Amino acid sequence: MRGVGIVFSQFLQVDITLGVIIGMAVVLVFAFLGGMKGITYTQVAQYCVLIFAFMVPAIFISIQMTGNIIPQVGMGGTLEDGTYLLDKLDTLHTQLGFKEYTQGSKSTWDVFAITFALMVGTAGLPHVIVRFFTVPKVKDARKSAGLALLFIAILYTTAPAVAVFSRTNLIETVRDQSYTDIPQWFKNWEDTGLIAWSDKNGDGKIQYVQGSALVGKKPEFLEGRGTYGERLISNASEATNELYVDRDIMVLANPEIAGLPNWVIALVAAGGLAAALSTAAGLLLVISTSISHDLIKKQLKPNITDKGELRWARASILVAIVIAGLFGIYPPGFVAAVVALAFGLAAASFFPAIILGIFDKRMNKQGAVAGMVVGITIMLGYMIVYKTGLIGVMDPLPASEWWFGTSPEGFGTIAMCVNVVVSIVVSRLTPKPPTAVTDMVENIRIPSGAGKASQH
Amino acid sequence: MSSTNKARAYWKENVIYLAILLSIWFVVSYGCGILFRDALNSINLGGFKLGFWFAQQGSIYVFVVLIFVYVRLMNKLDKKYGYHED
Repeated sequence: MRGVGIVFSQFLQVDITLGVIIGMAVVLVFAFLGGMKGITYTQVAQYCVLIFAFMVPAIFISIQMTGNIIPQVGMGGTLEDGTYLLDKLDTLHTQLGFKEYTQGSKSTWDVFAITFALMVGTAGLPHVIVRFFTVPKVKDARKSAGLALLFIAILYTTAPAVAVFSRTNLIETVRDQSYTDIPQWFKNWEDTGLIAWSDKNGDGKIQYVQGSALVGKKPEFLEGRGTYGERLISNASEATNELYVDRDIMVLANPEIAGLPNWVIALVAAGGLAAALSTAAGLLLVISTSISHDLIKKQLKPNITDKGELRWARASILVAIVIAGLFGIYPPGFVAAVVALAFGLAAASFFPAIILGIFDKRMNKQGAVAGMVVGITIMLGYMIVYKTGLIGVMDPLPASEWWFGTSPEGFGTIAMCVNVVVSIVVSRLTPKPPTAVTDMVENIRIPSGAGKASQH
Repeated sequence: MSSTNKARAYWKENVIYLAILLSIWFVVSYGCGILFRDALNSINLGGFKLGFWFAQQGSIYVFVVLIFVYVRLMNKLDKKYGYHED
């Protein structure tokens, strides 16, 4: 929701909070009018908008910076002066006191753990799995997985290229520039509160180096403007760094930073909106159907009317949107971290149950439930202790206390292993699953069985 | 071959395919991109350090190829055991 808010706030030049609220209203209308089929088709349309909006500026910037038309290749290309783009960015980073761009700042084990948690988490997330219900034949499901990955790959191999382009451009544009000469995009983003600058050494130029420019995470703006017309902030830190840039804006600001024409910028905003709306709508659909159908109809009120079910679905959408909007206005940390944690939870809970259910015939109900409960518990526990803290009770413990140097984002990997071990041990200690279940497992292992299974 | 034996044999071949493809998956994504990144980074591929390239692009290309290989292998396997649906 925060992404939607950013687009609207930049577009309509309003405050980010108002932007989020407008976004909520749009998603609400969107989710109320569409159904599963509607959402499938709009997601196709949105993918087209998204890929177009993402690729066009990437290609433009790639041509502009490296003369290469394919961003993936341009990323490894040379600049006008003959140096490689990546070498140049490494040099810039080193000069400013950051780690080398291609080096990364996390330990090898931690990267390993995070990557693994993300991968198995994806495999275990319910809204990805339900997509396969729309293709009845096994053969088609396989093919659609392949095609889906192909389209995703186009997007995901471009993303790192865009990151390199924008990072280089950003550093080159703002470094040691005087504020009065700064391009308009900088001031626009400053107006929405996502960029902040305080002239600490009084030279009127922007010093952008390693270190946090602020005390705390977000800038706190004061009324009124400074000597050069910048927005004044009350929580500037002692560090030399004078610039705060909200990392969420990088993709959207990228074409502006590169100085591309307005229509390209509009295109990116459209793409950003399409991406956010389609994800939000898809997730809302899963939430609302699982509440109205699986929970209310199947568990609580079996004789509910269709109309009543629809009302429950809409009510749950409304509640979900309000919660999402609140998180958008008061974001709980950096977006990527939040997402990684969600994947970690999925990795720690669903993934082992799904995989063991298919590959381990001795697996039974007790084992799977015990594994999921233990996995979720330690994952949540680790998250609370090391990431979020409990408000009023404790602050999150520092990175030096992490188990084996595993960040909360990567802990899903450990939680998953624990889940697997617990599941196997418990299942061996409890009775075998009934024959009906083993037969079903035998059956889903072959395609025609899967065909039958999809009919009920 | 009885239908249970047939199903077992089919499943066994499927698991072998999975094991092979997943080892490639592991070597490319974790091996090249993360574990041996530093060693590979001494090799340059155009402007890329090789380990960095694997992490950012190379492994994704390999994934796409892997999944299409799996689709092909499995469709063949379905035919071999008579499980194909059309």
